[in-house]
Amino acid sequence: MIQLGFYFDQSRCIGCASSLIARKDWNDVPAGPASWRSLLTIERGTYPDPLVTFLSTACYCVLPSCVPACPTGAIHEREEDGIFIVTSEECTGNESGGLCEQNCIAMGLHSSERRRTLRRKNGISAAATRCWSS
Amino acid sequence: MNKLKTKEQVVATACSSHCGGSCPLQVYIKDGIVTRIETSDQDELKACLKGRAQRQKVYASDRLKYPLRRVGRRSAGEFERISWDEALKTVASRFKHVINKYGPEAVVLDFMGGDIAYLHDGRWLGRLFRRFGDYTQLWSNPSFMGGNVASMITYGTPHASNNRDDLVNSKLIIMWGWDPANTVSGTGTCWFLTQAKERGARIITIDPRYTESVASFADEWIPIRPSTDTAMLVAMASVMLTENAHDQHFIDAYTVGFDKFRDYVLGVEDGVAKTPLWAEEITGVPATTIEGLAREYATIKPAALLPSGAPGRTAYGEQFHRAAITLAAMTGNIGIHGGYAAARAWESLFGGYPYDITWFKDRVEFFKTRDGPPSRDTLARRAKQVHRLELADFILKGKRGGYHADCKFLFLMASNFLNQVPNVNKTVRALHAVEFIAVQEQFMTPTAKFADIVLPANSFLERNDMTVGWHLPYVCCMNKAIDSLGESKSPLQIAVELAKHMGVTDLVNKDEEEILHEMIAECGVTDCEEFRERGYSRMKLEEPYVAFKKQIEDPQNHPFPTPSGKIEIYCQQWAELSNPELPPIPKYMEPEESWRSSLARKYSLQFISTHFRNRALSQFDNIPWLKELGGQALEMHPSDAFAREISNGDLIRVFNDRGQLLTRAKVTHRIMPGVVSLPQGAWYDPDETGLDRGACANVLTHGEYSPAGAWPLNTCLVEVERYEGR
Repeated sequence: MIQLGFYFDQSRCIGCASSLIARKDWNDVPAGPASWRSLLTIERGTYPDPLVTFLSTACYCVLPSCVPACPTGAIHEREEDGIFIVTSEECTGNESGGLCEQNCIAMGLHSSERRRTLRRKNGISAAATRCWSS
Repeated sequence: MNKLKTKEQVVATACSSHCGGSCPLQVYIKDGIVTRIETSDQDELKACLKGRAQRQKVYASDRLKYPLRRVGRRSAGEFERISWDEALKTVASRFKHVINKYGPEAVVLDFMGGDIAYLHDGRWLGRLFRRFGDYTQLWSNPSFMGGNVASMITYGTPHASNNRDDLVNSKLIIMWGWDPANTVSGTGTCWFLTQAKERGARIITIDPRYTESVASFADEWIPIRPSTDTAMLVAMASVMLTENAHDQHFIDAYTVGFDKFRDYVLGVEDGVAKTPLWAEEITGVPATTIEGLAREYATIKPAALLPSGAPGRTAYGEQFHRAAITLAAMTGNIGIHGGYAAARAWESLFGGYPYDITWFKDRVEFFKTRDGPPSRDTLARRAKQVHRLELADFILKGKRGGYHADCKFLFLMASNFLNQVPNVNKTVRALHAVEFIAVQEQFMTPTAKFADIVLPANSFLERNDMTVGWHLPYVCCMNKAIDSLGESKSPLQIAVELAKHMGVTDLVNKDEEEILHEMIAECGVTDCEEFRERGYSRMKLEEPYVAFKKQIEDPQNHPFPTPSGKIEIYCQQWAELSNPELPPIPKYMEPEESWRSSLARKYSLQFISTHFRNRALSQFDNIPWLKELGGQALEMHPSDAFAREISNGDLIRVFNDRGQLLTRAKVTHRIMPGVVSLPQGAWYDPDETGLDRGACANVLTHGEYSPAGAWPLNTCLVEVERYEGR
């Protein structure tokens, strides 16, 4: 099975945060905790020899904990590329307590705000979508 | 990825936000509304986070859409909506009143680098105002006045940079206070730095901060006390001279006056040898480190010393740039691939390449004249001009204080002047005292709050324009993507309509589209349609552009455009001025607000204010996507924080005699002890006690300009304490 993913070369990342804003803009995600990518600045060591490096990650999981948590089984893994998507027809959103969000282990990236945005825009909801966009 | 959604239309333009680059944008539009923004997917010309956030800027809820008249007191931010007719009539009648009563010199027009490009800029208003006599022009460039002056007097031209694609030819790159990972400094610059690094170039940074650029590129970080960089450069020259490691052939063939510099460095002139030990005391950099860097720069070839504007934004900042150029000459790194002339001139901001385009050359000439180096002619002209740092003083004192005029009418466009000019509290006093202020803006900035009339300007997405690449040769066509929001108008429209209210009907006899076509025609673009559709056109050069290549390869036929035809390490023009603060050779001079001054007993921390990734100067401060990224905090070393019982994240008060601001502490090992750093450009927001809760850096910076005009933003002392209030 094909499993799509992101290739990230840490030796080239300058921590510019452009990818974060690009994904917010492309997917029309308003300011707020929801984000399709995250940028982590790792700072170690002491002056005058600090170590600083950047980690830019897409929001996805190999085994999303939201899938078994979903009471309506609305989160599916897509056969052709391994991307998890949610269909708005099956997703009951906050009515069932947002269990996908509560069970999310991906640094709390899937907020309810994001879910609302995605449902409104693309008919998909909070799940690991690897920045999938229609 | 299937980018094109049905019914979405794509318009090409370029983000040109006075940020450090000109970045191609693909603007997706549906039903006249921008839906999303992409950048170039063809090459390394990628927009940064600010370009990506333009949609939020254009549609920001606080965009000014209608002309406004002030109804409350100045700075209170109370305005009422009025018609364009009424707004322009008011501006025109107040202008004429001031002209008639006080003369044209009572008028000040100033525009900075906000959202303007080459068609829509301040020259239309300048032309209009000049119809009524010579208004008072403000001079000096905040960003790199020192670099500009140094390049002009040493090389005779501001065109002194190799292009960024030439970085891949360097074996050693010295990034002096330079942080392109945050400041862009030419679209694609970090791509070429990455290439250079991957090709094995050794990269060294000299910076009080361990910036993102240090983290990304540097093999070695040399922290240095702010405002002392010249001392380190001079000491490096001393090492090269003592060890005879400099390129005497280059000095003999291409420069004049080096002997006088040598005498200064070796102590023949003043009895003080400028040794690495001498510099260690001043700079905080160990003498052995200075020696090591000097040896590397003298022996690894080709080597590019890239000075940032920041070390030159200091008291005597022009000396830093003169010294850097002198070292580039001593190592023979001028005019060759992989080298760098170590200049940081005005041209390197708006082009970095000597475009043979009339509208580009016109602008270079304008700035060459306005911000040229001190000379007898320049000083005579400046008797009726005012340095931007003097505006507040000029307003407050006028003729009484020895100025040529009294300032009664102030027109500011694309300029958050109050916020971006040192000593905000003095500017506040001054702005309260002006008879009439008009501000042309997109947002209710701290400056706009002082306006009597606010004219809403549109953004570059709402008009046609052109711009050029920064440090890479290409021209951009900025196509209009959407209609103007609300009743906002373009700078050209506003000038033309204001002109009519002043009785001038022939200011411009062409419309925007006609002017744009003429501008495109001058660029040598053959296929205009293709150019407009793609949005930019790269010039095809056989090799990366290298400044002064001809002067070095064939000096007989290609002299430098200086009086002597050579690189003037000794400047006769300045010798004639007999000003000890404008020495004809580069020298380190201790500034009044030095960390070794008596003032440091009261304010013991050196304060620097840096360009911030999330903003272009003060632009974008109000954009939610960027604001939420955070980072607006005072960086301080753990030892300085500990001594003041400050923990990471604490609310702190930063203060000196000029003002006080409130911000959060970022306690970090990424800054040298004794130095604190705040991103500049945050919007000034004082409470009733005068404490700036917006954390605008210029509340603290001082406004005494350098002898050659440099802004001393990074020569500043402060104290910090934990804030117990709320």
